[in-house]
Amino acid sequence: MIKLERRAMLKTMGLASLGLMTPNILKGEEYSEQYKLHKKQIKTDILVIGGGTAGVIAAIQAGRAGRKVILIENGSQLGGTTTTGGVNFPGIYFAWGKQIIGGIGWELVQETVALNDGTLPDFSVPHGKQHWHHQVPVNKALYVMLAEEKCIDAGVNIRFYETPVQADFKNNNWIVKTMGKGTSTEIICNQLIDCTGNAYVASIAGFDLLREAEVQPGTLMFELGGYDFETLDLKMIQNRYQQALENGELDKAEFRGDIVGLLRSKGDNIQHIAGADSTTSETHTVANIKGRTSLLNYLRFLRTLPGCENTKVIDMQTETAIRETYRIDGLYKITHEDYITAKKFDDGIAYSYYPIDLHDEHGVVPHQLEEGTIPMIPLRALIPKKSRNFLVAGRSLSSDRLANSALRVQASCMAMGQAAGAAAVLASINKKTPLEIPIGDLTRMIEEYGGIVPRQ
Amino acid sequence: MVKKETFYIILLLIGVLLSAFKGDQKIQYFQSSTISLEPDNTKAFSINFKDSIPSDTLFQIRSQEGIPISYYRKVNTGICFDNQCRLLDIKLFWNITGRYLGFELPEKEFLSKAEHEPFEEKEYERLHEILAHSESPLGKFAYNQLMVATVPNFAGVDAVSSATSPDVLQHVVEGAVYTTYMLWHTVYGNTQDEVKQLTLSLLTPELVLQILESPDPSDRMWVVNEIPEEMEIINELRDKLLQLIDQDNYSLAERSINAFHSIDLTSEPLQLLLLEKFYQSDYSLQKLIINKLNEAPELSCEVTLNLAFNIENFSGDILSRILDIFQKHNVSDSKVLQKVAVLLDRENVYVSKKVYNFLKHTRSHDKVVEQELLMYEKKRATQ
Repeated sequence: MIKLERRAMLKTMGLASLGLMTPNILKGEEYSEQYKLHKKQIKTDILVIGGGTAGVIAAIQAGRAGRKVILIENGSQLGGTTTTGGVNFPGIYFAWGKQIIGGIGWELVQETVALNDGTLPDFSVPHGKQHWHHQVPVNKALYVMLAEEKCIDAGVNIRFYETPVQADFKNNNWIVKTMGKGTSTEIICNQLIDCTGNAYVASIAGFDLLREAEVQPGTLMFELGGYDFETLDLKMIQNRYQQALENGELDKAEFRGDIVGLLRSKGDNIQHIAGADSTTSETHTVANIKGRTSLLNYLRFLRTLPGCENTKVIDMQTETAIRETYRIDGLYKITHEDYITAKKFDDGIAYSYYPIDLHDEHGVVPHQLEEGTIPMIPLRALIPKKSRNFLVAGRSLSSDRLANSALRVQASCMAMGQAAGAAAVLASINKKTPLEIPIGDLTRMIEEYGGIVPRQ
Repeated sequence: MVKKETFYIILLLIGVLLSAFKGDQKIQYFQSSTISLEPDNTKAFSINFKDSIPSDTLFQIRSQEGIPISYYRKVNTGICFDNQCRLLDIKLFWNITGRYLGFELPEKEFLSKAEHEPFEEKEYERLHEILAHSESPLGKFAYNQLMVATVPNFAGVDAVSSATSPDVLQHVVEGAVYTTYMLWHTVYGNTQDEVKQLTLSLLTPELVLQILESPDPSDRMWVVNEIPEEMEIINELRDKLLQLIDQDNYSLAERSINAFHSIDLTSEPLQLLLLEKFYQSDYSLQKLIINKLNEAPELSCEVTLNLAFNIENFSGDILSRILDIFQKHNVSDSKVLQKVAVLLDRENVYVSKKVYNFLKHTRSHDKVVEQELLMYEKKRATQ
């Protein structure tokens, strides 16, 4: 008995001394495996990179057509500018009273509105100069969830928090290396669709990109409150604003020199952050910090004004939304002239409709299209020169700057996404590159899934 | 032969007579109304409009049968300059759907601009055009944005000659910014809402049908959107709504589909008519129609069989919705399930998987279906 007690005592003392060095062990915890990067290799038919406006649609299209699809998104949710960017009023789906963009993108938008008990705009009433009347406000949270649900339903393998770092073309397949949180993955896919909006994957893959010296500004979307606009002394506010600009307290370009506009809009799509670029972590960090710093500076200024002492930030997006970064050097570059004259293309795969909408330091003056004009997007504008088994969809399509200012909008991106997804499907099935797919087969598939294709 | 002097005297007399005649005429501008019946009586409603106009009465003009034809409100407010004020006295009219109809001034009355200069005919026309524009950007301007300089003494006075803000100028009658602004906001303010509510309180299927014949598309859109769930969709109204489901006007078609409620879908003829529309429509409308059929408390056998026999023609989300409908309505008819089972053989994995999941859910004991399921499972196992 004494032996047992001694042993027990020694054991306890041993444990105690061990406990002194490693106190938590005594509480039943265990050391887990040392952190290491999880490496794996995955094969798929189609890889879509970028889960934004175009990427979601491309992935759903490909999934519903029966292909294996992986969708990579470097953020936490799908939707891109529509959700994370906060530009949650996609358009324009109707031109001159007729629907010109439908399919999966329209399905998503229409269901989001319906689930929110909303009402669609009356597209039969001409919008005149107020084209935003035909844009469709959507509940961002619902859009995120419905997009995700539809992807999952289509069998899409979604991978958040990952970004591509390498893309090589070998034996008619793309080998894409991605990095994520604790993961390093090699994805072998037959067809690759770049929906990053920045032609990022195209760049990694070695294709030429285009970019102007000056790009359109980005916008941090937010909502202000805490004041009654109708009671404000606008003349006084404008004078005080002018003084603040002259003193260097505020940057004029950040709100287009329009303090009244800022107050009236309460922050809705009014800020301009010059040079905003979401291509890399570093450039996007700069854009985000600039957006938030600008808002904070203006908030402090507003709160010094009579009537605005209680100005508050009611809501703010987590990122500065981006309008323009890089575009591919594609097999065809859509020009401003092409767009405003609705040039016909034999390989037209989608319509687009929006005024020429170039934002600059002075603001934006949209140039509406002539009555009856419905521009067209050719397949070749989605294909980088010298590429195989590769497409882009979204604002980085091949276009000049002015055409791009209209093509970049969300409805057009959705149409491009569906077309790219369908092209990738047919190319994958037929073991070809998208350009080799008969255009009739492609347009038939797009229509089969509800998309609207240009009539020749 | 008339002497020259006599000729000029006659001309002068004609001119005087004409101006006198014009001065006695009421100045009025109107658009076409929905109901073209003869006005018979007027009913007055006392309403708290919560605006700055003293008059709190809304007048409803009715036909002999009691059908509302239009509404009007008397707008009286002051226009002042250098402490001399003149009363603005005008009647604003609304169509029964709330659409702006027109305005009327009392005899010998006229509208005036800055310095009390009377409106010319083109300015009345311009005002009428502005008031008819429901989406005018004037709606987005706040009161304090109308002038470049702040008005020192009197708010809301056109006679004070400050400069109109250039942004506002193109949306108002020049020199009458406050008049235009005030009248526009009165047309599209609380009064309009009250007009709509009063009409809705009298809405019957017959009145809906009359409004659907309106020459103005916005009237048709409005009433289709407002058909209450409890209203009986009589056959004539049903047929009219179905007629409006036309891809040439998506918005009206969408609202028309929406006008049918679950209770209406207990009617098999309606289900079949919707199905007929389904086959005539483009993809966007097909989605809406199939979703509407899903709301039916019970799906007609004929509709079920028809969808099943055509199921091979569908893809993507429409196919998925049809399977959802079958599942929701516990469709177990062998003929239907056998037709669906054919899709198990599709190359498209998305489709075959959906069909497989649906058929497994039905727990069908049909031999043909069971055989198809078995073959599918074997095929999947080898892939």
